Amino acid sequence: MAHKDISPEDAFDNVKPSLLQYVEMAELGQNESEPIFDEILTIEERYIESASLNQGGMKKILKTRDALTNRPVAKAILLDFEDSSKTENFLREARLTASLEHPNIMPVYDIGVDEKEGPYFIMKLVGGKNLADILKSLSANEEDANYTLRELMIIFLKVCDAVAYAHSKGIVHLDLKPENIQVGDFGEVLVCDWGLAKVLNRPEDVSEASIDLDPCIYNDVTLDGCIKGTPGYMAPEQVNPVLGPKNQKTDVYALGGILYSLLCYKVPFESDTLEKVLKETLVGDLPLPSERTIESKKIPASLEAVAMKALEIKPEWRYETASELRQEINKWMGGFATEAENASFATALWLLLKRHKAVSFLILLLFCSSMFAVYKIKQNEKIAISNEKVALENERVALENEKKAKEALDLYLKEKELTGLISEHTIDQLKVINDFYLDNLNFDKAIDFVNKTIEFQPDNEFLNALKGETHFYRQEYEEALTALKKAGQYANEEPYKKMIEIAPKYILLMEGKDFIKAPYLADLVYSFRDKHRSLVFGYETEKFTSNDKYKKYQSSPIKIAELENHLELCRLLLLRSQKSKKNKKIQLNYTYTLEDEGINLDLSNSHGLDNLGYITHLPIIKLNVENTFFWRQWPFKHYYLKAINLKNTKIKKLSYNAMINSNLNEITLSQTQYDESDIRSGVKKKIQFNIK
Amino acid sequence: MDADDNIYKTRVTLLEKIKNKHDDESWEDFVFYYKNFIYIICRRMNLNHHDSEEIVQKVLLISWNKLPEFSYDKKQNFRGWLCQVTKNCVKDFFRFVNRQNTKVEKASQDGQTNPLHNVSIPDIEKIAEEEWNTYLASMALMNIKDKFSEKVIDVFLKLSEGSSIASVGEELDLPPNTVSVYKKRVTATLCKEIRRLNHELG
Repeated sequence: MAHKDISPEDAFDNVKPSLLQYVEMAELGQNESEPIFDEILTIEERYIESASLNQGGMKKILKTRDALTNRPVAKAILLDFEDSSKTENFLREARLTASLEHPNIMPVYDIGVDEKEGPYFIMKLVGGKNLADILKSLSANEEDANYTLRELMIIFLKVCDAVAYAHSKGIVHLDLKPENIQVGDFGEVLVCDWGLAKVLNRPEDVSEASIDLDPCIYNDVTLDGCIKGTPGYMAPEQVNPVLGPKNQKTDVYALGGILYSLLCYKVPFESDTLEKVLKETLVGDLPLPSERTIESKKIPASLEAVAMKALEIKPEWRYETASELRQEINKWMGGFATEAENASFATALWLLLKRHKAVSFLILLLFCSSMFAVYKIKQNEKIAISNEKVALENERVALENEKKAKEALDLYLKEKELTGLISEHTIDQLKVINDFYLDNLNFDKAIDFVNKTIEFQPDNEFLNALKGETHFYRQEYEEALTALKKAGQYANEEPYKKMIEIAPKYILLMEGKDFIKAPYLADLVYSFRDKHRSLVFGYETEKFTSNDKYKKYQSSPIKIAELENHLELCRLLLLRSQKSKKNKKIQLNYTYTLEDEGINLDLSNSHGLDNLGYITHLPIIKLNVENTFFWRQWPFKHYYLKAINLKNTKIKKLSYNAMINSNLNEITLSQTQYDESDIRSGVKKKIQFNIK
Repeated sequence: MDADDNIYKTRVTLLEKIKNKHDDESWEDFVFYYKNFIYIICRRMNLNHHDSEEIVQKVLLISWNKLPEFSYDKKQNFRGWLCQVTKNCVKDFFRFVNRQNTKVEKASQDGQTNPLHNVSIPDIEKIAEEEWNTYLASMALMNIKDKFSEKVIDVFLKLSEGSSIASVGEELDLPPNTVSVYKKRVTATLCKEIRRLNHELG
């Protein structure tokens, strides 16, 4: 026992006879007339008797007792509280969770800082299990009366409620998974672990909030190998930030993953390696829950469809909100067809019959016809709404993505200078970034990027393959060949194999020339398929896409020759690409004049011509496709096109909505293609219609 | 009787510890708790600081020798015994002083007269117990002082000296409710500490 030394004199001076009363009081226990009051008054340490419950990477959960309320609670403490950024994040999580007051969200009772254990927060101590445990025991023993599909859907509805509530507060969870859902024995369902949650600055505009997060996640994925989110449940945009911002849709994806697990008791993406899981997530090739379970287990098709819709790789294909997803489950519970099911009229009718068995068939017959009408009207309405927003949205997303990729790259390079390391993982990410630049036909950036990264691992086979490929597109065949020779095993894979094979030929063709002649270019383009074909051609198109570039080509005879060579290439490719008449020969009339502002292209009377894919990039100002099989609407989005002749084409009805945003001011049509009542007055003012 | 026995068996008090083990640590505790108490008794008997300290040394020495033999009987109060020892020491001290001063015979006049002439043994026990309780309460207060602000302790002392809640509130510019909560809080803590000390010291 350690004592404070008190000198006898001090002790003598401090003797206070007036205190004598308290000795008696203490002996008689008089002050215990208010035992709770006194207990509370004398509590020095509020949380006592800790026992470890659980430990994660960052924090530890203890079981403890709250001396004030006299109930057991859970106490979360930070494992490493020396690190001030971790401390701040930890307390941020606590505050954020505390701000979410909902019966299905883990309540935070108190936050504080302990002298010994550092910052902590106090949560409800939940008995029962987490959803992952329940699923595990269900998959081991398929039948469990406590957790029928209906019970599981009730749990899921509550999870949706919690998530929808958080979204209404502008907060996204970003790590939803069965492990983070606590299920009590009396209907308690609590969503916990909001450690990765983000506050979206403004619910309607998520771009800002996600920007400050993206590079960081990107970093974690590539360098630390520590992923924010849980593979298997994390959305593609969490694996690769280039794919879009993390927002409510990311949670919708994870909810889809949970629903998927509830149906087949399995994690959506399950592979032996992390890389595989992440790749599968990006590709989104997911078997239906019913394909992953024993045949005797019946999985309702409607719920399956709901899960798969929520798990779409593209955010815009998923449910808009968690509430929308919730409604679908609700519909199923109530015996209605879900939207994702794309229910046929028969299914809907069958479900209706099932719901109202007592209703007589006669009455049903009466309803049938009217219901059918309603159903039709609804469908038309739906199509109209969805078409409208797509165009504008695409453009915005593209710009946003480029900005993000740049930021991620900068940050990545900076980090890499520090560490000088590239993991397997990183290389996957490099490929994604390189692809991103290539997809945008930004060949300069793509090669710049590859050259910067290859410095750190000059012998990496994959990076060399990537470098060779990029040089190849750029028609730098010698560099391409040098790099591809260092590509090791990749040299046997397409497209690298093909590139190595034909590069020598093009080195010769290029020698002493300013450009490759059109027939050889056409061969080059057709040496590849799909994406690689469009990239080989893409490099060519990049030279002429804007009318600024076009004007430069008019400056000298050599340049004009190159432009004409390109137009010849386009002609050759147009001929090759027509699909409509396999047997009959296509007659292609292809004449052009080079005007100051752009190209005036006349394709009229080209019988059988329907695919103009190889000329969409040109700065065409006038286009004549009269008497062809042309049917696409793209001219209305074409930036330079001023006049078009669509007479006698396969275009039956023009999309007048699209026209309002186009630069067209003259359209020539035949009488049958024109319906004046259909045209908005705004369009009429802008565009002159020539009806012949 | 059996029950009482059990109580004594489970409650290993400081005295028992000393009796049984006579180890250094228990002795240190003993000195800590009783040294100042003996000193206070001496001062109460009007000895000056210097003489009191001398007596304390003597009493502690005697205790050190006698304690292991001290038979703990609930009828015999340990502090009564301690007081008795102290009294005897003081008596011896005065005898010694008187012998020194026989020729001058002045001692009785300057307040150093033997103050114990008129105190019988039961009285001493009573005084000892009362003194002890006051000492205990004071010690308890000193122990818990650090847990409260000075103001709270100030409020508490004023109230325990008989001031009314209203007047203390007015004096320190505090609402009466606050004063009353301060008092309750200190009282509860103090009583808890007194009980703890009592328990420890037996």
